[in-house]
Formats: sequence, C-alpha cells, structure tokens
Amino acid sequence: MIGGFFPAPALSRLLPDQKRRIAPWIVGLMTFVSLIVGAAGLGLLGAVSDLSSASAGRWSLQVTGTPAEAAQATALLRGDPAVAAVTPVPAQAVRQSLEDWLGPGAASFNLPLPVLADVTLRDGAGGDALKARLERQVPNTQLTPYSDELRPLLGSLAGLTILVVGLLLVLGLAMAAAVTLAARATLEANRATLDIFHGIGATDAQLLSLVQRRIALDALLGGLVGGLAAALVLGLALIPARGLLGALGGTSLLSAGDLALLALLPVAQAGLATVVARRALRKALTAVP
Amino acid sequence: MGLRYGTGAEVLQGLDFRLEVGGFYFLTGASGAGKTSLLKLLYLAQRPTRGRIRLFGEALTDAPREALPAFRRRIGVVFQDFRLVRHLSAFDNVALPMRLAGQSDRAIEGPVREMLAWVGLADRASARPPTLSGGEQQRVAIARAVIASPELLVADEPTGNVDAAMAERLIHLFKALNRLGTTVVVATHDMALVRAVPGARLMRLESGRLADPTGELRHPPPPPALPSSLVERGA
Repeated sequence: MIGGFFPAPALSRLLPDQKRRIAPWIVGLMTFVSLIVGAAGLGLLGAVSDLSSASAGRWSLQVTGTPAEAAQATALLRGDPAVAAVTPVPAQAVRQSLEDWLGPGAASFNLPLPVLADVTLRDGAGGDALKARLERQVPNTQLTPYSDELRPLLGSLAGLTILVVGLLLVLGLAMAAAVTLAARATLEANRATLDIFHGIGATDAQLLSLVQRRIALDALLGGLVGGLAAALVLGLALIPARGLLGALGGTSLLSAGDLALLALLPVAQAGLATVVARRALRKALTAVP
Repeated sequence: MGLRYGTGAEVLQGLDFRLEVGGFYFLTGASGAGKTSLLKLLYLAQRPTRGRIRLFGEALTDAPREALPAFRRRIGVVFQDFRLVRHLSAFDNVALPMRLAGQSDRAIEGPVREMLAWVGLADRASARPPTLSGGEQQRVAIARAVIASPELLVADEPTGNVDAAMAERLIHLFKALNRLGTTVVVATHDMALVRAVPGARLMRLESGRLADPTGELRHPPPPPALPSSLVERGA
C-alpha cells in the first residue's frame, strides 16, 4: 500500500527500531486519565438521568394544618383523574427523619410534624393546575414537585458533567500537542534516514506512512496499557459503588452502552494521535526542498 | 542560474549550460569551487535561487514538491559521503530505489544479488554499513545508484575510497550504463579517471563559475543516433 496510510510490509522495515520511545507513555497516561474522567462523566450523566426519570411525575404533599385538612387534601388528590397514586408517609417515618436530622431526642421536642404523602401523577399529566386547585381549596397545604427539590442537585451534577466534558477536551488537546512533539521527535531522530529516502525518490506519502505507522502503533500500545490500567481502577471502584447503588435501589453506575463508549475511547485516541501526527509530519516534511 | 545558501554569497553564479542526453561529463575544480552544489542542483536536492533548470525536458525550478520524487527516481546518485542507511543491510540499501518504486521482493532479489556480485560484495549482502570498509560502503552506494538503470547518473568523487582495480571496474560500469543511454556526470579530482573515458566532456568549475572556453556546454553538438535497441527501450 505504497503512499497509503500505512506502508507496504517491505517498506515498514525501513526505519530503525527505537528502544526509548515516549509516545506510548504519553498516550497511555492520557488514555488512563481520559477513561477515568470519562467514566466519571458518564456516571454523572447516568445519575442525572436516573434522578430525572425517578422524579418525573412525582410530587410531595405537605399539610401543616389539622388532620381534617390532611384528609381533605388526600381525598381531593385521590379523586383527581391526573393522580395515579397517593401514598401517605407514615408518621413514624417522619419522626425517624426528624431524629436523623436532629438526633435521638428529637421526638421529645414536641415539634409539630406535617402530614406528608407521595403523589404520583399519571404519565403525561401536568401537576401545576392540580397544585393551584389543591392549595386554593385546602388551607395549609403545599404540593411540590420532586424536581424542584432535586433542582439544586441536578444543577450541580450538570455543572460537573460540563466540567468533565471540558476536561476531556483539554486532555484531548494536551494529547494532540504531546503527540505532535513526539511525531516531530521521531522525524528528527530519523531525519538522516528520511533524507536519504527523499533523495532517491521517496514521496512524502511514503515517508509519512513510515513515521505515522510507528506513531499509530505507539498510540495503540499506549491506549491498550492505559485502557487496561483504567479498567482495573474502574473495576475496583465500581464494585463498592455497585453495592451502594444496590442499597439505594439504583441501577448500575455505568450502562453497557457507557462501557462500550469507554472501550472505544482508546481507539479514538489512537486515531486522533495518528491524524495529529500525520498533520505535524506533513508540515515538517514540506520544509525539505 | 545561480545558487546561494541562506543569506550567504552565491556559491554558484552565471551558470548556463546544457547536458546532452547520453553524454558523459566530468566535473572538476578545486575544493570549494561548487562541484557538490552543482550536483545537488542536478539531483534535485536544491533549487536554484536564480535562473531556471530544466531536466528531462521539464522546467523544474518551480515544480511542486510532489512532482519531484518521480524525477528523482530517474536519477542515480553516488554521494560523496555514501549516505547509506546504517541499520539496513547492504542488500536492503541497494534494493531501496526498487522498493520505493513499489517493486516486489521477488522482483528485487535477482537484480540486487547480481549487482552486489558485480561490485564484489556478494558475500557481504547481509552486512550493515558500519561493519563495511569505506571502499565497500562506496561500492554499495554505487550499486544503489545504478540498480534502477537511471537516465541520469550523478556521482560525487565515486572512486575516492576504492583501489585502482575497483576504480577501473566502476568506470567500466559507468561507461556501460552510458552506452545504454544513461547520461553520466562525475565530479572528480582524479584525472586518471577522466582519461579513462575518451570522448567525455570536461566541465571545470572555478569559484562557482563554469569554464566553457569551447562553448560546447552551452551549445552541445547534436547527439549521435541511438542504437535501435535503446530507441525501443525509450519507446
């Protein structure tokens, strides 16, 4: 495949083997960090998605008035066609929550406890009209969507996700810069040999294919090592996280799609490294008459 | 045409000459006269900084870089410092022009072995340049230059490191290639070498200028008719 992306087998032997090469280490390190950061980003995205879908259509009823008002509110909700279910939160659970926040003696404080209930709307039903009607007809009543309570958390998670994307971009740029330097170093290390090839009729494409083959192999090697190291670390980190998620009733931290995406990252980085190296080499080669 | 390196003075100036296809030329001159620079122009390692150069009938002064490799493949070069690839064997060094031209290992094997035998290095085919003597390296360089039957052979002091017997064999090789139609330009201090090729034209460089008292270089006589076998090869 003379002049193509990779050289013919006979041509591929024309550059000497270099024992000390820096490109695999650079790409390996970048791949490792990118995978960890990428996994964190995908985990965050998954968490945002899980929380958003879990809170969709779910509202919280809070009645601070009399038991009669609480019963009236509950009856009004159960009678509304938009409501799928109204599940009162047992008073014991409310007291337990109070103790979790204020300590074991909280029950003796005689604090007025509200009546709470989880309200689930039918799919596609809006809760705003229901909220307005309920709060108008039953005094001392509040109907609040879960999403309102989760908004600060979801906002923080979304901010972290953007930060992760930014970090991945910075890592990509850093790797591109490092690979450019590595490509130029490879070119300089083999300059005498390449000048000879040039002098006897080698085309730029042939010289490019020789050097970029080395960079591509280095990138793949680095990607493999970095990927394996990241897989090990992620595996160790995900085992306890999976237990925690199970306890919280959640699903796995990273979906199969996420894992496939992460597995593609080293390949994408090797591809990026090769393309970047090719551009850098092409530019460097044009300095020769 | 003229040539200068960077902002320095012109190392070649006022050159105006033609090389006849199939001619045999010796380029002489004192050290520093510009012989190697002129050869660099001929084998397209440099472009003139002034004037024009035409090679194989094509104007190459402003030719795009992508066009040059195809012309370089038509030129065989014996460098003064050999420029062998240190990590490749003598065989692979000689095979380089054919490999770069895309020829298969099978097509390369026979001609390269034959060429190595011709320059007396059949038993050194797998040796790498650092293990070869200066003379052996020079013979590998010559074999590499002529393996692809170039149309133009440019040699810079090709017999500088070989003994008299090998020098004689090399000049026979150059003459044989010349008889087949290859234009040969040899830069040398060795007047014995010049005398070994009767009919060769002498180009003398003095301080970057070409001495051409007879005017033959600017206005070469018409070339002799080529043998019919060569005409068929060219077609």
